[in-house]
Amino acid sequence: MLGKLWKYDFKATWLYLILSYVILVGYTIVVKLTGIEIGMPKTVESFTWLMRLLLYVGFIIVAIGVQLFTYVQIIRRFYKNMFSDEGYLTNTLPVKPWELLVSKVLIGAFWIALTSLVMALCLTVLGTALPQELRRLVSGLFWDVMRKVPLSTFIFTVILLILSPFQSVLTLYACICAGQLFSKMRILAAVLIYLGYKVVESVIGSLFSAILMRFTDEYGTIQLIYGLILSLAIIAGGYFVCHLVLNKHLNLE
Amino acid sequence: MIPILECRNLTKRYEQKVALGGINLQIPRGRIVGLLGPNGSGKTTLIKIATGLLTPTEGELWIGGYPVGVETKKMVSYLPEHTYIPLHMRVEEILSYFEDFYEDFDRERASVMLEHLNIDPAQSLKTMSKGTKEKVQLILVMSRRASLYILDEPIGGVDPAARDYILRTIITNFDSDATVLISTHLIADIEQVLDDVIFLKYGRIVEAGDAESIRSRAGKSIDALFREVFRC
Repeated sequence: MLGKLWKYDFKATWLYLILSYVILVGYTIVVKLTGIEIGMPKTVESFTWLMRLLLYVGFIIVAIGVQLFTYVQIIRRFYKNMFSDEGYLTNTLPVKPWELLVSKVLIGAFWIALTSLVMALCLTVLGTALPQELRRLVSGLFWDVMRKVPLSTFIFTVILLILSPFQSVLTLYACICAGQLFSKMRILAAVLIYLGYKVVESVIGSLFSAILMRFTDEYGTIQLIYGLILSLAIIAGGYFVCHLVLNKHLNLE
Repeated sequence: MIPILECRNLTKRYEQKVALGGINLQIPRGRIVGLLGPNGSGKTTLIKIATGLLTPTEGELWIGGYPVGVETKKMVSYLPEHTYIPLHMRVEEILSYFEDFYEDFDRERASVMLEHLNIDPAQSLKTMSKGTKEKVQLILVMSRRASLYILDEPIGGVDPAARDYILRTIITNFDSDATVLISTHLIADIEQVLDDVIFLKYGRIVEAGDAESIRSRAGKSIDALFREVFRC
């Protein structure tokens, strides 16, 4: 059943997200084809410099827009399919609540990861527009770090990167589910819960970072371990909240 | 034989309000049952608990001998009051959706009914009128070979011709040993098809039993009795 649920979640979300990627990739190709190099202008007043600036600012705007759009689509799909009118169909399917939840988590994490990948590819393409000396310097620095960093630090970083989309998605879903516990203004409640959570996360994160700074090595291994534990705790907590609401406290309007 | 639906001291409270208060009920198989009551009497609350959309505060509800869960969702075909099918889908896609998730879904039956109504399977649901969407929903629900059909206000908000069509579809498309539970406050239109009736008032059962016996005892139609019991 999980496969079928994921299939329909994918069908409901792919079109506009792929279109947004096409726009981002298209814009990147346009910038690349203009042949404009990134670098300091020979004269501040030059028209070329201005064009360059506008094009790269434009890329940042489009990239942020695509990122935000991905999150909006994920949130929209979850809320609409689980808690609006469609929820009367979804929640009466002969599937376990955890299967509904896992399907939504997987589709959300999939799109976040894919958006990140597309952005990374576009940045790589734009990176080829750096002046050659700068490209060599960046590449040199990168391989230097890669040679020196311990394997454990590398592994922790990769694991954190893999967990990151799941953490983001479950945080959002848990806030939406928590909002369902209110009888009125559920969307507003979910937004406020999310903002409150972000404040708490930021405060606690800063506190622990300051404490851990005393004990960490030059590669921030202790902080990575803390980040990993925190990420797993948030994923577990988010899943628990969602499952509890879907299983015991569902009350569609 | 195990009743298709059984409630034991079923209660649902919301803060200060009691939506259902200690309901004890058994609905047998093979009957068309009217769940009657004014707005706020607890009909939708009872239906939501039966379909797994709400958990009770106290008590239990069993369907076909199972507590509400995955097994009962396989047995229950539910039509809510409003449009619940995803509007971005085309008709043929929603047919595939039902086929994917419900083993008892009869696609052939659904296709025949859609053809009778001249509904194009390639048509998107969002381009349909409200009445047509409701008919599509009803066709999907009645095309399942379920043990219990729960229809929440199936004839509210539609024209008289559509009401006749809906009632005909309900009567002609369920298996003889299946039960149909219809929640409505439009009694006059539905009275002639009901085998049993349950009157709900302020979350409690005030009358329940065989429709014909109730009519004989009260000396009036179910509709007239309803107006009397629920007089404002």
